[in-house]
Amino acid sequence: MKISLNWLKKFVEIPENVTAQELAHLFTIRAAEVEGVLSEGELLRNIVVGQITSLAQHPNADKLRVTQTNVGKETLQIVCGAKNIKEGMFVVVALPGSQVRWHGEGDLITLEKTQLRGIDSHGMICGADEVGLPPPSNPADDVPDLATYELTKDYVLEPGMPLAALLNKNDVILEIDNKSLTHRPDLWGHYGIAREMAAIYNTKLKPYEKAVSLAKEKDIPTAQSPLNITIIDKEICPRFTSCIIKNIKVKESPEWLKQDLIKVGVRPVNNIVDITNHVMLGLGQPMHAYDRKMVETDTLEVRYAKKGEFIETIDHKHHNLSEEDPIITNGKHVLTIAGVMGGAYSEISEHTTEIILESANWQPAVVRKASQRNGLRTEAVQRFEKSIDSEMAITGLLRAIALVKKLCPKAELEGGLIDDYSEKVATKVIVVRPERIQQKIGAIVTTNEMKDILKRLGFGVASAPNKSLSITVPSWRATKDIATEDDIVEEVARMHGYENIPTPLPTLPTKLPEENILRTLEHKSRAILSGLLNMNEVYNYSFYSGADLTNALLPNELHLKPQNFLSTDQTHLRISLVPNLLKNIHDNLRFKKSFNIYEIGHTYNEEHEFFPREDVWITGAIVTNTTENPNAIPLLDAKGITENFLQNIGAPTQEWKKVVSTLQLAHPHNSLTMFSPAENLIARCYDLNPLITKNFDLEGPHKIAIFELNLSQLSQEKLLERKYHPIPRHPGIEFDLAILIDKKTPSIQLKKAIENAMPELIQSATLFDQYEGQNVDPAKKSLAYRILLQSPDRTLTDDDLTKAQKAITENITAIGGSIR
Amino acid sequence: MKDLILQLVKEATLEINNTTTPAQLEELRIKYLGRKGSFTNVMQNLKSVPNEEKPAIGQALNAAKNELEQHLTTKQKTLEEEVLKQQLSDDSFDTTRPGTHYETGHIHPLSQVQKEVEEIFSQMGFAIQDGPEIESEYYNFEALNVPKDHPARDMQDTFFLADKSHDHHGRMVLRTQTSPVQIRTMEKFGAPLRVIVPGRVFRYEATDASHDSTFYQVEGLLIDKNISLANLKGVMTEFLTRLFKKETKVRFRPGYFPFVEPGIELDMWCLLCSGMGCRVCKHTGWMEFMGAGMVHANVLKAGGIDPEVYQGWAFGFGLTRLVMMKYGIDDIRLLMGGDLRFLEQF
Repeated sequence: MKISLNWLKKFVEIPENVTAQELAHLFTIRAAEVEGVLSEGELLRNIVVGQITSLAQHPNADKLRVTQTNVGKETLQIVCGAKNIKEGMFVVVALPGSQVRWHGEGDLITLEKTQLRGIDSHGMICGADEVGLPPPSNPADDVPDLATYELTKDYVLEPGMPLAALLNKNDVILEIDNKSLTHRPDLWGHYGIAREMAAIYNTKLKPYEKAVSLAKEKDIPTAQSPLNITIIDKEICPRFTSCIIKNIKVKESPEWLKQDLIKVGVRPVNNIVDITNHVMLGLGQPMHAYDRKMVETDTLEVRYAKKGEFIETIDHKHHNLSEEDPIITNGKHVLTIAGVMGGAYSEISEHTTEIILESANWQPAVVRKASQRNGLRTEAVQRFEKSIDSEMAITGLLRAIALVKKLCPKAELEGGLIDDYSEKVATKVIVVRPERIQQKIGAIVTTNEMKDILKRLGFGVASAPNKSLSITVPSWRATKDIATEDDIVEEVARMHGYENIPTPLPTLPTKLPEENILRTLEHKSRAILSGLLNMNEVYNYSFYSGADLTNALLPNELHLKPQNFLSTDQTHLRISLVPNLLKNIHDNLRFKKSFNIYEIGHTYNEEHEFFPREDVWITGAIVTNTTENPNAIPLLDAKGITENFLQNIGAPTQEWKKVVSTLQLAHPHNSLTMFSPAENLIARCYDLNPLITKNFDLEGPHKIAIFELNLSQLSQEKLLERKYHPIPRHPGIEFDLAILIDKKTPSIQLKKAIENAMPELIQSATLFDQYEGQNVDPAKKSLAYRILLQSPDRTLTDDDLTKAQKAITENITAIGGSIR
Repeated sequence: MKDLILQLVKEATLEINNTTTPAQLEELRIKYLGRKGSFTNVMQNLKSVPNEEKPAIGQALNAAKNELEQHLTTKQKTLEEEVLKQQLSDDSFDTTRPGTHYETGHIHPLSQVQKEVEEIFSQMGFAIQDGPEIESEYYNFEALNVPKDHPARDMQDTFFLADKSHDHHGRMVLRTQTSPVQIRTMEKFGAPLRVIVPGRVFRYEATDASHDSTFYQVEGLLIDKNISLANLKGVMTEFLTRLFKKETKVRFRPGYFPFVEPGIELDMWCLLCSGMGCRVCKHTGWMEFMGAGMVHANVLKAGGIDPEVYQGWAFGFGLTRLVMMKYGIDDIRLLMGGDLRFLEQF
């Protein structure tokens, strides 16, 4: 919301030594955020008076001329299309770097030196609307001749004079963040802001009726108003005030009125509409004016719309109304969506001679919903939805009548005023305990200071029993904002000054916070995977698309779906981290050949309970380029990483099981699963199903293996403590053995056969090579083991070695193997 | 015989003097003094020497051997010194060659900063809490004093889940804030409470360089019998000073959030200029950091805590924004993008 400092000063004294910047800062830390401070002079920066010294036809364009224009310090060549320019004329020149509104429309643009049809132009000779000035008295003039122009004709003009100084543009515009006014309905107009400033600076606020003129009692006929307003659905409308004014002449507003609006960003329309806007911006009371003749009848109804009713709003959009939309109707047409926007049908036009003025208050939630439903977020909606003070309605009406009479001297009321005030809010009184307020703020604020602060803000303050205070809330703060002692804490704290509150740490007993086991495990997992195992952590969205889940062969029915989604990439909540990881792989394959990535994140599974089940998984992918590493087996990398990880965190494990996953993501055979001793799934790793590789466009010279760790489950398992094993004191004997065996025999079987041959001496048998091919029977494979013999209590002899080798050979032969 | 010995010594001395490497020297030692060396040969010839001459020849032989040994030792020392000298004077290694490249893994910047935040608050006695990412309207809004049709619901555009509704909980939503965990921890632990809740939140909001539909927040909650706004200033000053490892100040401004009263906006000293005012902070010296305030009585009540006995504050700041500030990341989408060229920088 834009606020004019000059406008504020009509209501409140602001200390003279306070700069606009200081004012903005203090308002920001006391009341609401001032996002910007803009001086009007700043807006006209680099816009000066120029005098055209010569004119020539543009060689390449019929409608353009090339001027030499004196701008004081220098004479510039400026190309201009205006028809009314002539030699010696004083014009408005925008120099490069200034901001202008092209043809008076759109956003401000910054002017630069340019070429027009091949001729250099060092600025622009401006039309009035391009720099926010009223049009010249001769409407045919494209650009104002400053020597005859209304605003400048009385001055001695000199080339180079800044326009801001010439026009006495000294106002400052404060831009206030609307969001920071969400709970302050009283600050949605200049008077409310002025009231706050008076409290902040402890200066005088002029009563509204003293600061501006309101319609006097004598101006209002005693006769009853011909208006007959029936409020059928009472809850829609806490207060409705209205009147009829005749003998209106609709025309352009006078300059002061237009400038007041333009300065705060509102487009002038005509005198009547401008008046309603001026009251809203000044007082904070939205208003509406209807063309009485178009309305046809003085009998109106306020109610919810009925099925089938519709309206064309003044922005010429058609709305089919719902039974929850509040309307005003003449029985035939819907005239307005109450509190939201008026209809085009009864809009003020140049033919309007009689108006119905409305100054009402509308129920916030009703207005809000109607605004959302119809997609109309107007200035009126922004105010009504915050719960404005119904007391303002009649003041607004009186102010508007006074303005109408000022601008249309012949205007007169037909009958008196209508005031249907169904929901007068009772005076709110809150009892507060000063010591509690002080305790919540944590600073010393005396009761006297509290009283002073509250009085400045317009609260009534009286003493109450037990050293407490009885606070009467002013009507403009009582609509919603202030209701409890805590609300008074805020008033006192902010006006005492948040900057004056000290910064002590709380004095609390030392307490070891309860450990979050899952969170600790997450951080530890990262340290292991990234720090030890050379993997990179990625973050992905919790969503994927319908196409993704089809491509990943995931069952659609298990997925939760957002009702509203931002893109078709994000229609389903993930039940697996794999699909997004595959997309990461696809993207990264453009830049890298081999890499390992993982993500730690939630999956969401529909359950029979209301809340879905959320599990935390670590899902990782090993991507290995097969051109660079022809012998790579990523699944074994995934298996090794998983084993290393589980061992590192001390997970209780069983042996790997070859359980075919229910998820079709995995290759049905190249797939391993790890259960905890209590048979809970804690990990799995697998080669990607080749169909999925194809579906995700991942075919190429690389292999991909996936591992998944169920972190939610692991966080519930009792993790193993590390135990020290004595370092062997006697040397061991190591020897290698190559064994030929049937291709289909799993290597684990062979390992066990070796280790069981002489368990007391054989410490380990480690597979270090596997070979198939030349010199090996095609039905067989050759496995090479490194075997360690060691005894805890003696040094081994050659005899031990011979015995062990014999035992091993026997065991191997028993399962169909032979020593090579 | 004596001549032969003298001749041998002379010959050997000459050879020793001419050696240039320890290896050559070792060869000479073997050649003259080894088991099959020249002196051993001479010794064998001693048999044929007449007995009376034997002592004198034997003496001469020993003297000659000792002399040679000495020569060899001296020469060896010289050679070793030379070798060492040579090694030490070798300046041919190109120290500008790159170090061997070791691939290491990288932890996502959000995880790194989150851990730092958790550690600092843990040290101040705050427990780390979690909550579900799919929440109910009750926990995400109602219990936090945001009734239906409240304008504040506009401030947080919400993802709703289809086809599920509950009498008490209303619809299911993707949590728009970490604040619902306030209620959940109050319900679970009661007062007093000292927790932070870092976590993923969602907004139904168009994505651009500074807005994403998914980001991370950190919620804080401190409830006890005598907790004030002043304490919030204290704790946050301490936290930010530790996090950014330089003196930092905070300021309060009035702000509005339905779940707190009073509500405040907390600004911190601009990281670049420390309050002096620069281009980054639009010459204010301050940067917006978070929303906070004293927990609203209705929220305490919803969590089953008596607001007449307990009071406290809550805050919520954007972890994602903090990460962007800390590392100077100018596009929020990079954080959820999985691009290793980005992630490998952390």
